[in-house]
Amino acid sequence: MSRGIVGRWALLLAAALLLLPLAGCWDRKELNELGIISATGIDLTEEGKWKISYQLVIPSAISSQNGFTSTTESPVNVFSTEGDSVRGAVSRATQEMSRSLYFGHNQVVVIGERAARKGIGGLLDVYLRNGNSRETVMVFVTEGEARPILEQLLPMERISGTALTKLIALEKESGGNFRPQTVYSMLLQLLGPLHASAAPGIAISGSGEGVRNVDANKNTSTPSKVRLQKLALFRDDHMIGWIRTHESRGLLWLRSEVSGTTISFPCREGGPKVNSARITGLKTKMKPSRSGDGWLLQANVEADATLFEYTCGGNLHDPAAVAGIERLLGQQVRSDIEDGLKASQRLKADVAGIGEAVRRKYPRTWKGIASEWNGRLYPEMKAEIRVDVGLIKTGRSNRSYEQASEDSRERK
Amino acid sequence: MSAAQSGNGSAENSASGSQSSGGAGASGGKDGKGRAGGGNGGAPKPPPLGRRKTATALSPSLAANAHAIRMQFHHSGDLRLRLLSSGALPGVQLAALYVQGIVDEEAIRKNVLEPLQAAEEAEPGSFKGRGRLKERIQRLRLNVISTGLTEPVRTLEGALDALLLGCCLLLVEGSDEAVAAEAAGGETRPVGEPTAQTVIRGPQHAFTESAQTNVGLIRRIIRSERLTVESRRIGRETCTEVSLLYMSGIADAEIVQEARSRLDDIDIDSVLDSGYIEEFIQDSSFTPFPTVLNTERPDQAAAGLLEGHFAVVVDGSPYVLLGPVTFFRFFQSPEDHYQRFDIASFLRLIRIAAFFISMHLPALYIAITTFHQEMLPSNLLIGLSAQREGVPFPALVEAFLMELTFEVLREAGVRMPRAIGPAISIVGALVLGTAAVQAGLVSAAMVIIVAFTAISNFVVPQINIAIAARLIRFLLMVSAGILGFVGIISVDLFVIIHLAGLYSFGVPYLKPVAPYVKGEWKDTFVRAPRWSLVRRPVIAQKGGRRRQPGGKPKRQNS
Repeated sequence: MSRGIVGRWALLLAAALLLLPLAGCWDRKELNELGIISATGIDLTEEGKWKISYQLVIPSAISSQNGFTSTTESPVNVFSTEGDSVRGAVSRATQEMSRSLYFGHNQVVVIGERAARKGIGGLLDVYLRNGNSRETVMVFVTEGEARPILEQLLPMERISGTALTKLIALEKESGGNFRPQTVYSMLLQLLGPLHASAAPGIAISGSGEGVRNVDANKNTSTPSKVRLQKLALFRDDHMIGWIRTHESRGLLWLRSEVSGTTISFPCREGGPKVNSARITGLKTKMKPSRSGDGWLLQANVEADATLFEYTCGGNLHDPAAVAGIERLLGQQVRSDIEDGLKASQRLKADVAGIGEAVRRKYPRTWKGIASEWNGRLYPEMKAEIRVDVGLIKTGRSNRSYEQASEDSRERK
Repeated sequence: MSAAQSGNGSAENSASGSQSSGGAGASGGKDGKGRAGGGNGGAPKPPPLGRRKTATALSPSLAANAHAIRMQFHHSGDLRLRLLSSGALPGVQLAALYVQGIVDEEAIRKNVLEPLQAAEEAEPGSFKGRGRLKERIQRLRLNVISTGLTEPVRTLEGALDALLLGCCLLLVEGSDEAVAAEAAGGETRPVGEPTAQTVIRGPQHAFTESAQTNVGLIRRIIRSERLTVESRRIGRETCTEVSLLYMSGIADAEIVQEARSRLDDIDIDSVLDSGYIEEFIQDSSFTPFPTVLNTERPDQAAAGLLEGHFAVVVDGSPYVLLGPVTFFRFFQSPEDHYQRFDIASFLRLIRIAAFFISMHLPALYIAITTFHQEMLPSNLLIGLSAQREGVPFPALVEAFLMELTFEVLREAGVRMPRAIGPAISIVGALVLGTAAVQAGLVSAAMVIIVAFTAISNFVVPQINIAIAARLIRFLLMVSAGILGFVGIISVDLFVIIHLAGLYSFGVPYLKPVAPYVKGEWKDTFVRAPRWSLVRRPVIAQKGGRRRQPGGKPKRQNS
């Protein structure tokens, strides 16, 4: 009060002005100064340089303006830069891009096989060190080069980078063969006690050329598609090999990471797999123990099943018939798990996290064996898998169609 | 009888007025206080102007008096003089003076002129004889003139005041005492419906420009002798009647005393609206936040009085002031108490949310789109980005452009003749909204932001708190444009600190949140059921806070 009104306002103004240097984020960027990246590709060139490809979103081609969406303009633009390091390559983008690249909404990083085998340490470091790219980016590995994946257009989707995240999320939810792998969880696994991780593989399947032109969407079918297949295993920071899709599924079951999947099973052992059921509520209990010099994994898998399709004879009112189906389902699940385990043992990468269970159970012993786990102990580990599938629903009919038609003939 | 008493009061007053050498405007107020303190219940109504410093006695000559009054009025055309004679005072020249427009001429004719002229035939004998003129005039005043109030006037200044208050002044030849007969009138607006503070359910009366009517409207709601009305005149030239209303026994005596002394300290030449008074009695001027509430609803004023507020009724203004008020009081609509408590609570929360939206939305948009793009979902970012393609200005400039456009439109809407209003709405909606987007001046999202901000601003029931949000919005936009969220938060901190330092008649502005008052939250963010609101807010007097016995009403069949 004594200072008077002018004095007080001057003080207020001074305080407000002092706030300006306090703020460290003087990084105002208008939306139309940004080049929004939806997907990144990492490749290694023949000369051993990093080649980073960017899928740049063209907003005006995607968003409906004045009520209609432009279908003639390509929604994304892909371009690449090369450099000796990952960020070195990114920094060259200013030489050919009029807008500053914005990785905040980058959702997918696709790693070419050669780059993955060389090592992704540099890439992971970039994600750890820089605030402008998120660690929740999903990782895919592709045989061959990453760039064609970014160039591929997906039907119904305008931005293929975003579409890939939807693809894998749906696969996890309903397919159960792969799960999304983010840079963050990959870092956790690679820097954890096991130093092993995995990333789903992605490939362009189909006969023809890649779909790089929006005009291709004028046809009812596209010559090629993006497709999830195989799982790339990583040890330390480089890729060591591929395992097949159903092996990937087996490993996910071992980790209880499947929310639902549909499997086919035969009428009797060794027969053609003509029936199918959906496995839900799968739970695995892993119990590692020493057995002689090596280790033994005892895994108890429990799961519920819903019958989707059943073409064999027999009456499902009969508990014995149901038990038979449960047994066949169990065998199917077990064989997938065993295949997955064997494949990862062959590649000497404990991606199912069995070492983690060992470490929790035998923390002292683990210290001594940690260094040779992936190399020797894990590949030599024996496994006893017990699967207990309970058929909880047989659907709205009990007999199969064949059985029903046979019965109706008898009644005549 | 009241005439005699008020006559005493008036004489007393004019005497003390002549002695007082202080501020002329304040002197009337001091008299008012003295009267109230003295407990002399017969305060004259309307209160005397009380601004004259001198007292010139009237001369016995009618012509001299009439001339002096005419001189004082500078021969104004609206001062009317009618010469007449009455049988009550045979052979004595009489003159009736009044100011046209503020008197009810019909009433003067009926109650003053006609009885005087008729007195000749009616009681020819009673005024014959040689009684002293003064006595005869008093008889005239008490028996013949039949208006509500009649007063003897002995000074020229008193005569002028009486004329300006709307009295008919009767000058008598040979007497230095004139008679003032109350005849205030003139055209006034009838009581209508509220125009700015409407409710769906609840009383539909609104205050008018007449202070008497307004006080009456409140009195008709609160039929209690505890409702105290203290009148005074403020304004050297306008001599506007300003009444302080409070419930004695409910309102805190200290707060009322504070209000009284603040009113007494006002010394201005004119009071044209309660806004004049508000600016003088509010606690701090340099704040966008109002510390006095205004209402055009008698029910809201009555509710305020019953909660322990005081009200200030200003003649000529249909807006009555209420104080002391806290920040959250501005989000309460009278309707909150008329509707069921659940919807009332919901609406109150909506209003508070709308207040913050109207303050922050453009700033948040600027901050998010220019600093924190990570916060947007990818598809929204791409959508906004597409809209911004080709927009030449930064988001801040764009926002300012649209906000200023809206402010101009809004001001134009108030100012505009009613007949061309729809035309301007079309211009505003179509030309400035759609066309600006199509011309690529602004992005479509910005139009939505500005429109929603504008709508939110009208949700708040009290316009003067909405104005605070309107002003601070621009500050927030600038700081958001410079510093993003850091800027918004720093301005918000300033505002919160500022609010925490505000008082309204000694009551902390953020009460009952800061300082926290237990039990008061029942009627702050939500409105608890009526029967549970047992106690009045803490601004009310200690010991006078119990509203009702309380408790849930008992049902016979449950």
